Amino acid sequence: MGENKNVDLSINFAGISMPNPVTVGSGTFGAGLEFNELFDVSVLGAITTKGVSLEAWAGNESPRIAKATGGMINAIGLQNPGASYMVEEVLPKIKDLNSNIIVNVLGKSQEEYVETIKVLETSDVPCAYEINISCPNVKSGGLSLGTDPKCVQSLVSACKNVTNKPIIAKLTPNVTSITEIALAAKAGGADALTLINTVAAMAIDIKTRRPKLANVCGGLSGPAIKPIAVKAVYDVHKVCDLPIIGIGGITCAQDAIEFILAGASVVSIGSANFTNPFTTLEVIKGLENYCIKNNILKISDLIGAVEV
Amino acid sequence: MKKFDEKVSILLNDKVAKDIYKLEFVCPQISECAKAGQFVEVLVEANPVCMLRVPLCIADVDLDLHSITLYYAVVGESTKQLSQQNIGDGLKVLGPLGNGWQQVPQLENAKNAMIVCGGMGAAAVYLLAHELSKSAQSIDIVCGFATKNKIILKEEFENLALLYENPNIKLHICTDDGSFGFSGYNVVKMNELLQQKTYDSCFVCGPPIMTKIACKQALDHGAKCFASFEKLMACGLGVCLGCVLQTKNGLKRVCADGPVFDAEIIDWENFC
Repeated sequence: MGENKNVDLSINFAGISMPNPVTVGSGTFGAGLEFNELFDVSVLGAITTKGVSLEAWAGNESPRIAKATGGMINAIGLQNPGASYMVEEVLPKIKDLNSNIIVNVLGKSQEEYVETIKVLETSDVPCAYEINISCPNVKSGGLSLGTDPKCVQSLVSACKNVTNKPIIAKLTPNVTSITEIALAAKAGGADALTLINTVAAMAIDIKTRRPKLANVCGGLSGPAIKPIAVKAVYDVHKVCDLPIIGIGGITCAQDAIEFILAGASVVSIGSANFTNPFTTLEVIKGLENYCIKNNILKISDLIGAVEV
Repeated sequence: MKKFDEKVSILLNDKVAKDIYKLEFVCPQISECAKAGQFVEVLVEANPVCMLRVPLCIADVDLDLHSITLYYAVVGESTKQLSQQNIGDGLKVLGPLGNGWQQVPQLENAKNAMIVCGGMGAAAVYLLAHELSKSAQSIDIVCGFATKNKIILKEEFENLALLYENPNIKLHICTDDGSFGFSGYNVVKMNELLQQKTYDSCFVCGPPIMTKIACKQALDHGAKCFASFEKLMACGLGVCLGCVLQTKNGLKRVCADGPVFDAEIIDWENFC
């Protein structure tokens, strides 16, 4: 016990070689530059960027966030400066980090996703694209695309046609059967899945009798959704052999191990970055300690190892 | 700009007015580089219910004690828990965050300055008052509070005249209900003062409506005007885009681009 100090945390995720299985939730980490002022972000397995669309999006009106027990509700509305700005101004600045950069991609239509990836393909910085087909905050896009298996298959397939890089489909939990959507993404040629995006939510100010968010509804994130996310990962892993990025309420290594046991190959830290900006580092360290304590040589041995 | 997440030790956490607390703690790294108008994000540990930190402006810095002072009103679960912390208890504090009053280009050039603050906004302008006191000929500090038992920082502001040996640093306390000082809103008192004298600079922090009226009056007067804004925020670092403010130059992040902005660039029509 405790003798083996050479734990192998590395992972090959859909062809991406990661030093450890820890990344960050899109929209909770910018492109890494702000957090790089606090610690060396290049130690992460990958950096997943804030979502980017073809043209700039203004996002929703304020208030955009509301507190919730065990989490927060957001309706930022995917504000972003557009793909060209990303390629010209942001990606060159993070190139020197020498990290795996997964660029999160948004669209209001299949064509927009495809065109956005085409613009991003002019940069050599992205190592993969995570397509957000699940954000509940865009009235005319995201959610409807992500809830219809036919649309999901077609969208993934169209994205695959314009890049050789891995396509990771980020799915919403706000569906009757997430496994059906996961299998549709696989049929479309997805290389991996991210499970889950935020859970549709609402909060009301009882003094003013008005919604706390200008957008009325938003997406719940944080520890409150962790059990929902663990189950989604477990359900999908049982029926679909695509590698999974597990995300939803992870605040510590113990949470991360739950996701890995359920079937996630990589874990992603989202809103916990707001509570403790060093959560990712603590999770990486904690994973290593868990492996040492339990005599596990390779973290990958734990993937889907839950005994039911 | 360097930022730190320090585990701090509480020196003082006292109720100083109705539902308002003064919190002082040792934080060598943050206190070393904190500037007037910047803020910190406070995390009450062992609190899974409230996962978002509390953003609070830095009211004062003590370089000898390596401490900073904050003021907060108990308004929700997080601030209630904060009020129950005792001397010696630990908190995690992230900072210093944002661009404060130091980014105001003519801070040293302000000769006849006015500070207008409302409620907890007083805490955001106290260090600014110190900065201005170093070079300004006169400063009128117009502090508005809802009522007498909500007044904070009165003695501290009053002491500035003595400390900087300048009788033209004057405090004007206003209460909405007339229970102390000038009876009525601080922006009414502000307007009175603007009629009597010419001010070159005005600095504002308070509730949204007050901020809007004060900035408009200052700009109409012909003064340069800067204001510090407050918004619900999550990260405090500029990544979540939860706290954006509509300006004539597009959306700006209160936490990272501000919280202090030139009043000229704010899109006041869509402000509140």
